Amino acid sequence: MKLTSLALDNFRQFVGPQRIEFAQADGSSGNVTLVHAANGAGKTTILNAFTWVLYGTTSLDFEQSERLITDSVWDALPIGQEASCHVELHFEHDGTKFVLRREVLARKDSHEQSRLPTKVTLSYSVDGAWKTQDAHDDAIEQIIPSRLAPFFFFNGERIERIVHREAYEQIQDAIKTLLGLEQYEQALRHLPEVRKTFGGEIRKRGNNKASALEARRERLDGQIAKERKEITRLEQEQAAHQDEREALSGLLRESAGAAQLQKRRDEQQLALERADAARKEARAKRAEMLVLKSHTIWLARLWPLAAKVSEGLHERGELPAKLKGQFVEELLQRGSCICGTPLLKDEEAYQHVAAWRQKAGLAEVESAWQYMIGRAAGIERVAEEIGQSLREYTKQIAEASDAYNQAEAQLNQIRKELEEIGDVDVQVLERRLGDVNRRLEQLPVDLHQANERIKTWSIELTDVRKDLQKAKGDDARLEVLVRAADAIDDAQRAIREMLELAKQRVRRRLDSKLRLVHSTISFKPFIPELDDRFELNLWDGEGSQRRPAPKSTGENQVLSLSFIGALVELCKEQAERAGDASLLGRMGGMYPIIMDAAFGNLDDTYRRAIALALPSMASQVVVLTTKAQVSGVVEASLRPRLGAEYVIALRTSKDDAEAESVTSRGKSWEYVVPGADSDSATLQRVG
Amino acid sequence: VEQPDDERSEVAKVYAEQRLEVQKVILTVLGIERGRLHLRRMEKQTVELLTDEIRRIFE
Repeated sequence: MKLTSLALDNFRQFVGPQRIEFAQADGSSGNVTLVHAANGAGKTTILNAFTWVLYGTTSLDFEQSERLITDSVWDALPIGQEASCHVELHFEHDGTKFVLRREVLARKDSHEQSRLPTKVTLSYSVDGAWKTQDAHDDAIEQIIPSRLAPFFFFNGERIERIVHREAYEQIQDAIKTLLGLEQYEQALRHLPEVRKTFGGEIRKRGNNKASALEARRERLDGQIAKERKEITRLEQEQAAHQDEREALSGLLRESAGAAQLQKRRDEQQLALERADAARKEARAKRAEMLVLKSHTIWLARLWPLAAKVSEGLHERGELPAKLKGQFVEELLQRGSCICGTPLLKDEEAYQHVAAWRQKAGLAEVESAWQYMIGRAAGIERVAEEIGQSLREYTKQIAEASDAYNQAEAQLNQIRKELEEIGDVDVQVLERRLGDVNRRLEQLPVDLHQANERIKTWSIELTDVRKDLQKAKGDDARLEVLVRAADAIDDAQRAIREMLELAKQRVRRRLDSKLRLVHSTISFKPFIPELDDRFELNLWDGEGSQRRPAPKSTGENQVLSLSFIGALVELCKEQAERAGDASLLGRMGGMYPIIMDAAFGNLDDTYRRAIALALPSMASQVVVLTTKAQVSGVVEASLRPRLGAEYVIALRTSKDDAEAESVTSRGKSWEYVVPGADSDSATLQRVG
Repeated sequence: VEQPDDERSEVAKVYAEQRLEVQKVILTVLGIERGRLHLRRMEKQTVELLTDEIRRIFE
């Protein structure tokens, strides 16, 4: 998708026709469009103009979203008259030019604007002639899926919500859309319904046994589906509680009365986590050694006894044996002894020679014995070393357990002190934190039990399916129904597995890209991770020693932006991929980034890092910002990549507002103009 | 680093492990669903279509 221009007419504060021509990513100039605007001048309106024209939606911070027609226009309109507003987006996709227009035509019945129906037109150009696309919603979903939109049209100050665990479903959805996996989700929604139809026919057609089995199968299916939903709910609850725990800890850290205790708690929590990790590591090593090498200890103890037995055999002349077993076998097979006596079965001579078999076998025993003596030399020393290592691991486990118990005791003490602290707010926070922690301890147990129930029912379900196969008897029609039902069950299971595999694979691809993008933006040595639950984490260090990196607002924004950069890159890669689309669909494409309040309240280091990274993150970047946010390091970093620059002039009816201007390329432009009859905004191209 | 086609081959592997009849059901269902992604509101008709097509495979 290549943005060409955005036209607004009487849309919110933008009175009359206004237009932004976007910087193009054709290499002739920079790909960044910079829009300067004072607070309240229309940055959020422009961001929402994109989502409104594309999907008919606006963000939560787009207040009084029903008031779309410019207030001054609406107020001046006599009752009974009509007014309109529209947004028009001009863009190109796959070499075709499109114009998407969404408009409101309203008849004024009262002074209030109510939510009004909109009219949408999507036109496209074929060989210079313009045509209208009927199913505009579907066409837009194909060009820029709504599930991906929150990652491309966003408010920089709120972007860090991506880091919060509750956003992980949104991330999963984006990935599924990117991979064209929505058909899998749809299939998994519809197949149970299809299966019910076949099940109903089996119950009607089948004998009593087949009917009863099918009814049981349906019950089990229902139970499993219900439990899967419950697992999703529990996981969401867990994610929300983890976020709440972090937020509560943050509040306690900031509270004057609790800051010191919370600091101690953070230290003890870290000590507890480290002790737990050390204990787990030592336990794993000890278990591995016990499984692989503990037999050596028992062998070393048996060895003196076995050696004594061997010596006894030697002393009695039973070892070494004088004959080889193979030699005796050859004599018996040949049927004649070395002395010439015929060896015929059932005769005494044969029995006599055959009796040597057992004695001759002892020669092999001895050979093996000698081999073992050679190998067993030093077994006692090895056993001692193993014993020493096991004692060392046990010691480490005990030490880690002590450290764990001490940290736990300290944490309990700190909790008690916080609960009894004079500050009522702290007490409330602490009590809530206690509740959250207790729930977080219980949730893994609930999840485990739910998974176990699914396992049990699945085993039962397999048995029922087998029984159903047998119960169909020689009824050909019933046989067809059972076969179809069975195949639908297997298809559902396979589709679920395929969906999960593809999702996790692409998550790992996204994770690799995330690390790469983050390393180019962040100046701190932290490592980001998109984990298998689709949560964004930031780590300090690697391996078992890693711990969560302190997440400042700046770090969270950099992490979120890195994720968006990685996602844009993945979208591009997906669109370029060829291959059979019968199993996996193909989505993706080149998408622009439109970012409101791009630099928030970040310090200069972060602002510069983001300004440097943004232009290379997408083919086109639109940055909406105040002059305060963009001045200095940001402007210096963005300037070489600017392809278009606008200033929104805010005309305000506030008399006490101070007139302000923006200087660009040596020229001064209106920024805030006080003393107007009504509030409005106009776009001025300045570069 | 994951290769771009990894998930494609993983999915193809699961598909290949299925019985022929199950493979037919999977391809039929995914094909219908892909073609009807823009008809999400017509759930009932999609279910009916899937039922008919699966019946056709087995009869």
